[in-house]
Amino acid sequence: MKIDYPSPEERRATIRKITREGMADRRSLFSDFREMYRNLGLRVIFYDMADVFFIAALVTAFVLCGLAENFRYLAGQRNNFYAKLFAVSPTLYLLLCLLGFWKEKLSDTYDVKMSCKYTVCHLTAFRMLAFSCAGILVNLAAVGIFCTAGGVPDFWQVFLVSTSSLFLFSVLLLWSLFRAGGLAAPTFAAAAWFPANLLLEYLFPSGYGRFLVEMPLYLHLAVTVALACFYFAGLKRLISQQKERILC
Amino acid sequence: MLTVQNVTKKFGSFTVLENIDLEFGSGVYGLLSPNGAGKTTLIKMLVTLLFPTSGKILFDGADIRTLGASYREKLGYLPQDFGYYRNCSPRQYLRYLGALKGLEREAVEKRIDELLDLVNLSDVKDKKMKKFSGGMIQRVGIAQSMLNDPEILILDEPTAGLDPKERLRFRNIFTELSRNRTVILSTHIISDIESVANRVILIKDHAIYCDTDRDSLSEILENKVFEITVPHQKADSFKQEYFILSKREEAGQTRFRFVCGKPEDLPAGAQPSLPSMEDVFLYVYREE
Repeated sequence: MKIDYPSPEERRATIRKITREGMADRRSLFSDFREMYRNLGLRVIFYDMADVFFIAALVTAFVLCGLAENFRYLAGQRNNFYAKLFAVSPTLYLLLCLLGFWKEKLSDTYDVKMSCKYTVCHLTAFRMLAFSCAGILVNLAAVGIFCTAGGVPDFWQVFLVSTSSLFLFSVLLLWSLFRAGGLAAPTFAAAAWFPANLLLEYLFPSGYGRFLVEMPLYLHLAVTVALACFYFAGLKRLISQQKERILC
Repeated sequence: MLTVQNVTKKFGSFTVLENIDLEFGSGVYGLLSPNGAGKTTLIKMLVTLLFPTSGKILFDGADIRTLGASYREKLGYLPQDFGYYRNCSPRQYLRYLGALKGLEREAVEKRIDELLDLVNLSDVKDKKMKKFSGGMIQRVGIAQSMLNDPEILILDEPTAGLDPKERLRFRNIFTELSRNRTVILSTHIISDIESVANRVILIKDHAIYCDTDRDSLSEILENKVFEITVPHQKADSFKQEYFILSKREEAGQTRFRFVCGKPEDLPAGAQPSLPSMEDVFLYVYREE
């Protein structure tokens, strides 16, 4: 009996077809977010978050006012200014994320949402990215005003110090989420951020600020890009939802 | 077809479920066990809220953990504690959950009206849920679980807080739904399982005690359930000797429904009785 055997080309084509149809589509974080935005819209993604926005905006305004109040004094001491700026840059992001996490937890809708196509993890990842963009924009505006009004010449360096600080905190926040799952670790990370920065300043009164001031611009940029990459990888991991009881 | 394959779940060193093997096809499956036996843990693994420590859960042959969103799209779930936004109306909340389930906006509106009608909440669909009773909230929960017309419907204590008339209504809905999908019901209310479940799964000592069709369950106590009337003064000693399923006062005497495994131990005057699912439940979990 003669049995037709497929040619090498036919075999390769069949293998290509099977792998194409059988393997999950490896989508990027941003295409995931684009699809979420198209399907859900901002109203659903930021549902019931008005009070979180209000509180975060209010506290950030107070912090910025405090910084502006002491600007002339701080601007005279570059090291001190950079250290303070590094500490307060993630304020808006920190408040939005942390209040958002707790609001989600207290709403008791976690179990229902986690069984949906778009889970709490998807919503949180999108919000975190949006909050970091908001944080960068607010910092950009604040740094711009300070540099223009105070005559600080190194705008880009000041901006990169503030952005790298924001991304460093974002990576820490995600790491704490993955390590412990619940909200105790991210809350601790957020609460420890300011004291840890003050402690560094206290332990290295001139060295800490000087390190930030003297670090070359390209190194600031490299650190910022590296932290941003870690952060986006963390967000992608968050929406892949391979850890149980995360954010719960 | 949903398959639980040799699943063990541990929290630290505590084993909640051990070597669980189950298969769910079309029909209503009743999960029955006392509190703390691992029912909710099993359900949470089926809806990917928890993951097995070892073993796999497969949907049509693929691991649900890797299927992710494509599995959740086919899932409807009512958790034991159904959370909701107090200032939302049922329509707003269902619209919100419909979006999270990835449903198209136009289709959702029509489906919401159908479901709110089905769960008898049409007249309050635009009222804020903070004024709702527990039973009404539960009905919103049942409606949301059916929003995406799921292939697998998993309901944890669905009839808790409902009055008998509503329970009957939902039993009928679950029976209708089960024709072309898997419905998994976890409940303490034995009469719910007795009237709708095609198969009954009992969990005991962290493992599956039995996975059988509803009618075969009573075989566990076949020819072992009896009734007898004894005078009051002998009631206490009778209770010591036999496993009592129920008792009631009757014309100055006590009527017992009890289990007797050996014919030689059967007291004179005992009449055989057909075992019910409740008898089996009480007998299987007599030490818990």
